[in-house]
Amino acid sequence: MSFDGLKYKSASYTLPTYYHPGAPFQSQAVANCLQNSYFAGQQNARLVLQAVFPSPVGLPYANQEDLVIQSTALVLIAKGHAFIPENITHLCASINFAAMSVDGGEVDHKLKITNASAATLSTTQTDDIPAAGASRPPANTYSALGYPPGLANQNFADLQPSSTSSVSIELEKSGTPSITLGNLCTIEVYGHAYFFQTYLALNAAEFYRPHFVSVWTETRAEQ
Amino acid sequence: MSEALNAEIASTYGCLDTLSVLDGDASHAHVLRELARSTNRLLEQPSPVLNVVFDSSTDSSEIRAGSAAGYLGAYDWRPVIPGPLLVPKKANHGFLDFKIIADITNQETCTFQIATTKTQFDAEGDTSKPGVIEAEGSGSWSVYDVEGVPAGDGEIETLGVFIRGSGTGVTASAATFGSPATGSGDFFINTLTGELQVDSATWNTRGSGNPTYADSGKHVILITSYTTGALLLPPCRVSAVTHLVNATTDIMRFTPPPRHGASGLGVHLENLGASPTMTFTISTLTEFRIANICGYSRAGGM
Repeated sequence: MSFDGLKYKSASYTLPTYYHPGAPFQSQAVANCLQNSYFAGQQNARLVLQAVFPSPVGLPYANQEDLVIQSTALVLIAKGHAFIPENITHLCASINFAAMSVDGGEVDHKLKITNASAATLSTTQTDDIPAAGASRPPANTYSALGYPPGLANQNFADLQPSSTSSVSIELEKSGTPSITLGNLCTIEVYGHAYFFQTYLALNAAEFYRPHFVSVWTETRAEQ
Repeated sequence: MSEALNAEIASTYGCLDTLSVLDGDASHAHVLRELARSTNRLLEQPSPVLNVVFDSSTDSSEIRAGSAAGYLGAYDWRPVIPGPLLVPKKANHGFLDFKIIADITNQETCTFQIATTKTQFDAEGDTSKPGVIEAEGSGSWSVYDVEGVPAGDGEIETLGVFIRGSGTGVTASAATFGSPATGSGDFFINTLTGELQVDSATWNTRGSGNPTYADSGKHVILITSYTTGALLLPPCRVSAVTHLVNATTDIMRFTPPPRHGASGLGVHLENLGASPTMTFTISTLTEFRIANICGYSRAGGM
């Protein structure tokens, strides 16, 4: 086995058979321990922040509009503190949301990190507003879990078409950190839906509604 | 030799100090053993996967805004949080354990189900399968365990948290919401459009200043056989008793039940009061309220 600094995709317990006094080849035990240590440090994503927004399950239809964001600019939807250790390479976020527009349009999600010295990094991800009508996104995304598309659509009858967006910040590249880590950082997630009116060069606000935000760190090896 | 094939896991991390690995000293089996036990512990320790908290106050104004409360019928699976949840996980952990704090109507049941990339959603809600539990309510906050849900081998897992409700069998109050709450007179129900019309009904409508059957979301329409009492349609949740059409008080709108087949046809039933074949009843669903769902990953299952 060679330890080349790449990310280790697997780990297994080091068994006594490798290190008991009569074992003929104890370096295997050291190699396995090294692999497991690297794996534990590298492979495991760490939970940073999770935010959940009012669910429509128990709400009457009349109140649905109260939960919708309509803004021409990004709106802060989740904010928290997290200690981000050094050598973490990526801060990742996944946002479940619903959005609706008569014009088409797009959804922006921005992930921002601010360290203890007020240095910041951010990334903005732009996606199309999920298609209406057959409510494709819930059907597709849920079918991966076996949730019947028909039932998903039925149960989302009171929701705008919904989808999931992912956005990440590269905190370190080629071993050089882009921001000083090892301190308590502020994590912020922004979102909104809009339609850009080219003839006015203005954004028109569309319906946007976050459901769930999940933020975690990853340590990715460069291939 | 079987002992040699069972992994040893340190009860605490950091048993080795620098004296164990002094420069020039030969290594020995004890050092290797402690090293292995410690790194095994790194793999073994559970890690947080999901921890979401909902408003658990009993303030009635907040109950709608930030809580995970609701009413669902016995056929009505719903995601507690819309959309599949992407969560971090230790890649070598093949099981997930969840605890759900919920308040369910006393002696009524709700079914919880957690789906992962390795444990597909089961529409039947078979509780013998991992990830599915039937929770009996106590009328107060209780903890329900969903343990040993198989998960994929990635460091990001996709979760779905679903809940299914039940009916309490209690007929809604006609005195509160308008009359009648049950009857076998002239009525017509159309599951394609989601409308129930009952002759001479005087149901409260939205905007009238009085509570309607649709306000809470806990009322369902049951259509049963006049003679046997058998349920003829799935429970249909009342969605609106509107103030439209000159304040008509005899039309109730409901969420159509799932339709089967490509034709998408609904069911249209008319009951004649002179020779009744059916009874309609506006019944009440079990209430559930969730305070917290937390999940941890656990080693094994790979």
